[in-house]
Parts: sequence; C-alpha cells; structure tokens
Amino acid sequence: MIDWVESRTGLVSALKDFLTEDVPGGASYWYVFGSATLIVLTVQIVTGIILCFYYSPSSWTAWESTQFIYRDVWGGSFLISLHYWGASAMIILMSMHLLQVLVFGSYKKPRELQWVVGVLLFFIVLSMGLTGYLLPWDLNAYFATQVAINIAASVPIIGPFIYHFLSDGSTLGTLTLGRFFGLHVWATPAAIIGLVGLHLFIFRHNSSAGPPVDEPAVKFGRFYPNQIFMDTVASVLAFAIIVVLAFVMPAPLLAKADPNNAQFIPAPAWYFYALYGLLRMFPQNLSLVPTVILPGLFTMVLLLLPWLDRNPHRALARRPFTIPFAILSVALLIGITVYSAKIIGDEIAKSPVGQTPVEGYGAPPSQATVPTIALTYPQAAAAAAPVGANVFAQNCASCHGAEGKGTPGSFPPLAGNPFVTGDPNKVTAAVLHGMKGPIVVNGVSFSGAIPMPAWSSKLSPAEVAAVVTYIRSAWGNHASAVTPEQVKAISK
Amino acid sequence: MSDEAKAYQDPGTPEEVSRRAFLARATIFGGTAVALTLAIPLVGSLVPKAQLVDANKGFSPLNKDEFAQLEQSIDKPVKIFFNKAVVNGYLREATDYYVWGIKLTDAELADMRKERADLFNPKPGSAIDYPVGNLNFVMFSSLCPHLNCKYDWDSGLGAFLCPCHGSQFNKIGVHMKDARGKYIGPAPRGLDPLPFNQEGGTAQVEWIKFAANTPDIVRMSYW
Repeated sequence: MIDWVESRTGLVSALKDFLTEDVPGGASYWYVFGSATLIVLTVQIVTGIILCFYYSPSSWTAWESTQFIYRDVWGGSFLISLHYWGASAMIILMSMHLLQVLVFGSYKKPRELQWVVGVLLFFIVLSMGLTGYLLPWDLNAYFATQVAINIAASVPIIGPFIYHFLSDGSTLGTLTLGRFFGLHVWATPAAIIGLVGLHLFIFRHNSSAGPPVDEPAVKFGRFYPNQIFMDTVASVLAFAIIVVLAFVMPAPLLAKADPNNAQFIPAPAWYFYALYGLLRMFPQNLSLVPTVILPGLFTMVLLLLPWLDRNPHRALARRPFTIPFAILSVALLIGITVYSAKIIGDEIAKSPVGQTPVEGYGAPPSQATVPTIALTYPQAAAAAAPVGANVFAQNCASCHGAEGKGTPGSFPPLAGNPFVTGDPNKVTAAVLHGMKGPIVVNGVSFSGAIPMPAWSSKLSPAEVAAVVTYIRSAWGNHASAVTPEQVKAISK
Repeated sequence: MSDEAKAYQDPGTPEEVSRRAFLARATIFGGTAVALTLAIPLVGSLVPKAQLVDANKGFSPLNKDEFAQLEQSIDKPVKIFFNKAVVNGYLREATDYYVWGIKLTDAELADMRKERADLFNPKPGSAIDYPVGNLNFVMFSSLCPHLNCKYDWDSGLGAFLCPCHGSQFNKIGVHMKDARGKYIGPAPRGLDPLPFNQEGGTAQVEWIKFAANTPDIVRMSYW
C-alpha cells in the first residue's frame, strides 16, 4: 500500500526527506518559534474559515453577524476568541522567531532571501491585524480604522491612492468593509501561504543555520523526533495559552459602530501601540516622521539587513555593532509600547464612553437571543422588533450601558432612576433638549463633564416616544408609556 | 541531505532509540490534543441550532381581502397571501408567503375525510397534530410535496398542476391518477394542509415547511 502510493506520488520519500533533515549542533528550543508560528497560523486559518460561515461584510450586517457568532453559534464565542488571541500569538511568536534569527546571525549568506521573505511575512501578518480589526464593525473597529486609513492617506504621493483603494470612496462604509474583508480572507492569506511555502522551500534548500558560531557544525541532531518534539512542546504551549485566554477573557465586542459618536476614544491593537506612541511624541508639523519616515526606515533596515550588515561572523562576540543595535531597538519598541499603553489607558479612564463591551470579556451577562436587524417592510418590522430597544441600543447604550446601569462617575444609571420613572414630560424633555451639569442619582453623584446631547434633531418624535417608553419599562422600571403626540407637544 | 542525513546514519544507543520512540509518541499525542481541542468547537459550531428554527413558529393573519374572496368562492381555490416576520439567522425579515385556500362544501369535506383519511385520523406522532378542514376551510401549503416547486391551479384541468414534474392534484389535494390508474407525476403524497383557525374574527394560518419527497408528512421548519 505504502509502495503503491509512493510509486505514484513520491509522497512517502518526500515525507522521509522532510523528517530526516539534519539539525546542526543538535535540536534546540531556540528553533521552535518558526514552527509554533506556523501552527498558530493554521489555527487562524481554521477558525477564520468557520467565522466566514457566519460573518457578513456590510455595514448593516457586520456587527450583527459578529454578535450572532457570540450568541447563537455553538462555541462561537470561543472560536472568535481563539481567532482574536491567535492574532496576538502570531505576532509574538513571529517576533520571537525574527529575533532569534537576528541574534543567531542566521540571515547571513546564503540565507539573505529567506530572511527577506520572512520580513515580508512579518509585515503582511501585521497588515492582517489591521484589516481584521475593522471587520466586527464595533465602535473601536470603526474609529481605529478611520485613524489607520487616514495615516495611510498622509503618505506622500501614493497616500491618496491607498486611501481610496482601501475605503472605496470617501467614507468608511459598506464598500470599505468589503475591501477589508476581501483583503483579510482572500488576498492576504493567499500571499501568506505562498510566502510561507517559499520560506520553507528556501529553508530546506539551505538547511538549518545552526547555533551562532563561526565554525561549521560537527555534531548533528535529528529533526524527527527530537526537534519536532520540541516544536510540538512549544506549539502546544502556545495553543494552550490561547485556549485559556479565549475561555477566561473572550474577545470583547463593543457597541455597533456609530459614526456620530464624538466621545469614543479608539485604541489600536497592542502591536501598533508603538506607532501610536510615536504619533503622540512628534508635533503636528513633523507628523510624517512617525507615520511614514520612521516606520519606512524600520522596514527598510529590516529588509536590507543582510546587506547592511556586511560582517561575515555569526558568533555573538564578534558582532559588536548588530547585537547592541538589535537590543536597543527592541528595548525602544517595548518602551514606547508601554508608554502608549499608559496614555491610552489614562485617556480611556477619563472618558469611558462606549468602552463597555456588549459581548465578550467585561460584557454584562447576555440576555435571551435577540435577532438584531429588522429589514424590508417597515410595518411588519415595527411589529416584529421592539423599536425602543433598538433606538436605545444604537444611541444611548454607549453611555448609559446596555443594561441601563450607566458609567460610574460620568453617566447616570437609568434603571431604578426616579427621574426616569417620574414625570414623563420631564424625562422626555431631557431626551429632546439634553442635560448639563453635575447631578446626583440615588445618592451617587455624576460629574456631567460630558453633557447629555439633545436628540430632538436626530430622533423622530416616534423614536423618542419609543425610547422613553422603553427606558421607563425596562430593567425593572415600571412607568407609563409615552406617545409620539406627547413628545410633539413637549418639543414645541 | 535527506536519506544521507548525518544524524540518521547513527542508530544510537538502545536508550537513545527508546527515548526517540517516546518523543515520537509524545509529538503525536500533542498534535492530537491540539487537533481535538480545535475540532470540538469547529464541528459543534456547524450544527444548525434548533432554537433558531423554532423561533419562526406561530400563526400569521391572512390577507383580509383575499380571504373574503375565498369566502365567496365555491368552485375555485384562492391564492391567499400573508406576511410573516421570520428570524433568518441574524436578520429579521418580513416575507410574503401564500397558501392555496379552499372553501369546502359539506359533501367535499366528507369526500376528503374518506379519500385522505390519514389527515383526519393521524397516527400518533404524526406531523398532523392539528384539525384539518375546520370551519370548512383547508389551507394548502404552496409547495408541491414532490420537490417543493410552487404549483398552480389550472382552470382548464380543474386541478392543481405542478410545472416542474407534472404532478396533478384535485381540489381536495388528492394526488390524481390517469385513466389507467397510474399517478400523474411523481409526487409522493397529496397536498399538505396547514394549521388554520379564526381568532377574534381574523383568519390565520401557521406556515410549516414539510419534508419534500417523503410519503409521510414530516415537519422541517417554520419559514
């Protein structure tokens, strides 16, 4: 049977070739990062395929279908969280792999092109983080991507083209989602798989570089099972960490993107914190330095490293320039990342509008399954969907919370709030005309630093009536309904 | 390299060989653990949720004008539309459906009781757990029981005719036979009556999608 397959495919001898590769200097845990990255890439592909079964890229359905994955798909929250944490794991493992190759001097002749392919992969994977970030279409996805594509637009000459290509128009919308989706699930993965194939092919052509010494190896280890065992240990460990994180801290999904929300503070993914920090360090008139020049320089140095570093030695002691330079770069990157994390954390603490997730880690316990979009016939949709709840979820929940519990210090709760359940005219007037200044609710004070906006120009009288009726009857409140006629009378 | 690989030319000590065997097994074990951990949610996520199917259960009011037309119609079936709010995954849609309404004379009802006895004396566990022909009305599902094509009333034939494969049904939904006693068309059963009642003066029907191409009536979904 094995002979039969072998004679027709050559697969058996190819596998044997693969497994009997020599490992110069013996198997080592230093070499596990590449294969662990590959395993996590596989996890990303597999979970991504399943997410594709449910996800729908349009501004009407992206957030809703994402929430559907959390609420209605068996194991959906776990799968989306595996994908979420897997992205971070990819970037960490890939960086470790890059650093190991850098420190061991494995990028030197004859492995220059293998290094170049690896660096390309590094940036392409980072771009996956960028395109995937928009897809859930929550507040953070929307506003963080807004920032990202405007930075791309600021690149001299080609910037406007990149901007128009990515957003497919002048506004972040359904067509933008389509482009990001196409890039995230088709174009970029195809490039990654192709380049990983090339990376491995060149790797096999050159064979392992071995330890960072200048003498050729005398001792050789077995790839299978010794090195593969170590690779497995590292991969299983990485996977186990992702699984635990996916269980303990499921990926957060914030409220649906609302282009009118002027208070929400977006944050990039942590692996872009360093870029964010740079952006904050330079004054406006030098803004091209952090957005284009420094990242461009960083990219070029990494790509061209095998030619910039002409030193033929691999032993650490004989590379007095590259090693300190690498250590300094990493320390700087980590430093700026930590600095940015602090800035972002402080700003969000000051204005936590919309930062409470609807699903995932930190979200209130989810209610019964509620399909969230009402389409087609308005009259039937009105009968089918509780309009007040929808108006609330889209306009009010980012401050007052999906459960009407408010935000401590900033926004008062509506559940159990006597003002809400009291005079219907007063609460309706507050929704129509807004509110300002500090207030005290049930003995707890709220700063009112961010005022309650006036909704009379944004919501119809019917919507105001529906949402006031909703907040007066939800979360244990029991007060009378308000009609559109009452709202019209008050708004005059 | 490959077969000539240096490390592989050295068989190693017996301890080394058994150590390698252990490493190989541990590798397979680790790989299997990862694969299984992934496989459970991957496969589980693909199983359709019964809860979402049941979300669409319930009666919908029939179009008033068309139902009034049926009340006047003694010889012909009437196509009656209704609008149903359905949960379609994460979409909530309002969709138009229709049924074929029949107003039965007492003689026709008696006829139907005789010719389609299985609908009136259903076996335990049958999908027909509701009264058929109540108030002398029958509402047939608009789907042909063969492969769920939409059939139409053919005035010339005086029968329902399915355009896909030519099955014919008479006014009370019986699958018709030709002069030689052979069934006309491949339908496995007669037309499917839906639950129907009147509540507070409103005629309403419950839409059920039955399995196609089975001799017995089996519920599939409610939209």
